[in-house]
Amino acid sequence: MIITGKVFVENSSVSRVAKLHCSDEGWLELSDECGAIRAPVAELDIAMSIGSQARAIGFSNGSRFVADEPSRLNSWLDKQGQGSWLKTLERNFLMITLGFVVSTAVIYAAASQGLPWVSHYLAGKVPISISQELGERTLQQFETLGFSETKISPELQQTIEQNFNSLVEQIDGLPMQPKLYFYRMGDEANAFALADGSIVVTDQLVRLLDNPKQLNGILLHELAHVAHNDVMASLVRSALISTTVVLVVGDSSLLVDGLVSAAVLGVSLGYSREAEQQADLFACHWSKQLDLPQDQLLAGYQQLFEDHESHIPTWISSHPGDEERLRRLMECVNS
Amino acid sequence: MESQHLSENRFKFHGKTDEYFGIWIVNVLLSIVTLGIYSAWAKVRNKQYFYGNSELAGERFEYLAKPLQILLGRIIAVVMVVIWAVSPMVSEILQAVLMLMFVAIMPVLVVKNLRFDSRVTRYRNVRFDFVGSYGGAYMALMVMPFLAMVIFGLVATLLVGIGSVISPVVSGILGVLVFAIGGTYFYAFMATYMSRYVLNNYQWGSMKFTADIESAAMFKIFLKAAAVGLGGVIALSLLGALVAFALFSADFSQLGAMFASLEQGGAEDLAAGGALVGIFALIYISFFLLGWFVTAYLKACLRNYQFGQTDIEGQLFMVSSVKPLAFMGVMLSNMLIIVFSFGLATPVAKVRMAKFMAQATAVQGDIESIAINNQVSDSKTAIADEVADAFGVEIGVI
Repeated sequence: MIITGKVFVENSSVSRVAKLHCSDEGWLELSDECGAIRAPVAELDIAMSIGSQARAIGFSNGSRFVADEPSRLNSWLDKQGQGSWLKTLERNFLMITLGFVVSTAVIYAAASQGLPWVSHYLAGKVPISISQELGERTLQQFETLGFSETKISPELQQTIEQNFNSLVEQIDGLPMQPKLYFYRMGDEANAFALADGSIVVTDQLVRLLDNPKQLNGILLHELAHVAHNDVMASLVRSALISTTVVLVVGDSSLLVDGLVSAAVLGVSLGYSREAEQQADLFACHWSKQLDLPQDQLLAGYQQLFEDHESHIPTWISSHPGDEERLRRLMECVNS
Repeated sequence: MESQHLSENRFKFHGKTDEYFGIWIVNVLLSIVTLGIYSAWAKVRNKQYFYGNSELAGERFEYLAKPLQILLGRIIAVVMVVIWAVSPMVSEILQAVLMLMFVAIMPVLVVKNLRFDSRVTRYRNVRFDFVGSYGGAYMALMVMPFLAMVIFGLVATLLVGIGSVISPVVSGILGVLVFAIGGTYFYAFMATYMSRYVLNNYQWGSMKFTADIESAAMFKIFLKAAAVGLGGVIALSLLGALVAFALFSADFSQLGAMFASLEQGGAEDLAAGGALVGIFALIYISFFLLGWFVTAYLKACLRNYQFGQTDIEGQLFMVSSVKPLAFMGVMLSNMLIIVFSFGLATPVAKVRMAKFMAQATAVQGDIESIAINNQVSDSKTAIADEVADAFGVEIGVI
């Protein structure tokens, strides 16, 4: 077989018309106007096989042949055992499917298992002084965030605090000493934990409940966030997600930033829903362990959810989520 | 200009999405299976695919790096990172010293990286090379930026100081002007210096690249981008106000009422809430697009200018004609493709971008006849160069 093409002489970008004789015995002979050179395929410097790219052939005298019709030379080389198993893999439908499935699985596993694990692990490595600093700063900024001083009577505060302290004393495995704070935030009934283990309860939540005992379930839920170091973990997680997305997208320009933060928010919310469920289970577990009245725990949750329902416009409400949480909690309590 | 009579050789990219997808996914799969070791081979195959499918004047480019070089570089890099990571166990000072050392050798790594990348690139049997000196790199990356910053700081302080003698208002206005215009000039100056250093030190065989980068022209580009951004913000704000005006028929109390009803948990006024969210989303998206456009505009203009100023031995002239709007379109759609496919459509995006960039790039001049005078310069590839590459030390000149 004769393949036409051009040859580049050693150390030069000058090209000449050339012919390549391919023999069935595995010899190649390159000839142009200046002469000819002959060598067995195994001794030649042949460019890697990739896609449908032309494979250049280098001879010992430094000349390099490029075919006019690469496919003919490529298939001749393949027949001579100069093909590439990689190229075969890259064209194999099964392999591509396998690659697709495995990479999807790895992405899923990394997102669902790896990321939470890594963020909790790293959160555990963050020095306690940083969590304290974060918590304190958040508290300092409370007024600018729309929080104001509590109007709950000192007596009621004291009763709740006593409850709280006894819960804290009995639960083991808390990484830090949680503190309870009361704040007013309009009509918002809410409770949440901060990075340093501070737990904030709003006035409206206390008002909503028939008696302080109903607050225990919610306090236990927040203590679970403290026990699991969820606040720090979620910070680490958002940082990790943004970094990963930027690495994958390979661009940190403006729009990416925006979409990334939206994606990060979405994914983070997914994880925080997971954390909420864990915290509910924790609350259920410890309320059983500590022999707290279960109906009060459920009542507290119910009051909070009912209040939320009326306050948040339905189009952004987490309504089905609440029902689901309550159902699971009931199952746990009754089991 | 004489170059207008020269023949134009446009770049062509022949890569195909389906073909590249197979290569890419097998790269990913083998990298996962080998816990990252294969990534060195993956990098070479990727580059070979993109270089080998880039055609200029009937000839393709070649990528010649060996996977083992890259693997070795990566291993060295990982070892160094591990040493840096565990160094605080020995002492915090050690870690700081290591960090400082890394910063100090940065320009060296940049040079090595540029050299490695160019030496493993071949076109028409002749390799590229980067011959920039380390001294030049230290000048361009450390000394000049530092000097410029000091001078800028002094001038700014002086001007604002003089202004404050006259009146606080004058001083304030001067301050804003100095920082807006002076800061832009400072940035343009650094970019000029850096691209001069990089572009003027490339070689193709024995033929030298020359780039006549003017800081005034660079400054103009940055100013234009800033003007486009500022103009866009003003236009969008006016448009927003107009829309709001039309929607609420000049009755802004309605808007207030809407907010109030939302604040009170006005679930009953769903339509109002929806409209409000829609308006905010629209504002958000339009500012997004504006920012995206300014970025694309700046990148495109810089590339077009820098390429346009670059020639090879006064005989071959680089041409770049990236259209900012089209460029933005490709970047934007690529990003959406990648995000919504969870990264799995990356090959589609990469091939699209390569095609777009190739179409917008050309070389004027008779490559065939000029090539006759081109000889291979002495270029030995040192493994050490790959270390820099493994760290991914790159400066974004183009």
